[in-house]
Amino acid sequence: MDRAFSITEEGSEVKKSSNLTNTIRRLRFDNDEMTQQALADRVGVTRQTVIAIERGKYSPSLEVAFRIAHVFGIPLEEVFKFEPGQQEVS
Amino acid sequence: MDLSFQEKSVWVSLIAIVVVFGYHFYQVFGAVEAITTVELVVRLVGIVVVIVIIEIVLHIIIAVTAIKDAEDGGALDERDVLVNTRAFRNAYIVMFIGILYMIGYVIAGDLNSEPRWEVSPANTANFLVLALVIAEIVNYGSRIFYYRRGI
Repeated sequence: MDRAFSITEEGSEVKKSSNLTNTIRRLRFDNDEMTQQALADRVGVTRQTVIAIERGKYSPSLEVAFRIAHVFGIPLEEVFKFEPGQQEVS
Repeated sequence: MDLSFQEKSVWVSLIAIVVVFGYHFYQVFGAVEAITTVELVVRLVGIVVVIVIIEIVLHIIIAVTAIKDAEDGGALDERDVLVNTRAFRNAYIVMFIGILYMIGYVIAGDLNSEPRWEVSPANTANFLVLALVIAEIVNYGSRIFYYRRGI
């Protein structure tokens, strides 16, 4: 398993060694199986940036995070979660 | 490996600079006689032309193979900007060290009656070019590292 990120028991959250998690991948599937490219076009970033965000390799700016939440029509806290003191899972 | 147009562009630039300047420095530093100023100018002009041609050809190829990414002209999103900023910072540090080394090299060469390398304008300029090239390699290498490993 990549040391930089892991899949939690819920199977839908992806985290990295920082304390930020997101559920973008699950939200895309729940929204008519939205593609990464479609989400990227609506948010204004590249598809590779969406991939990096989903894999926990990039933390988006506040504006991009809000745009993503707006695309799915849910509050920001339901897309991104900050868990202080979370330890890296080996 | 899913690469954005920007990342492919970085690979193109890295390959071009390593191949072309690598050949240049291999010839210059391996030569028996020191390069003259005129020779260096001619070489550098030729290098610029060759690199421009290589970059144009390879960028056309990657643009054709990644039409969607290239449609917006390869516009930078926020991750690209952050990657570039960090990479430029790394390259600046390397270039700063290289210039400091050259300052010491010129001064030491002027003080040393038998320097290893002749402190000629051509040699000095060539070493400065080397410092710039190494800094650019660090720039492109850093971008690739941040794109692959995350930032």
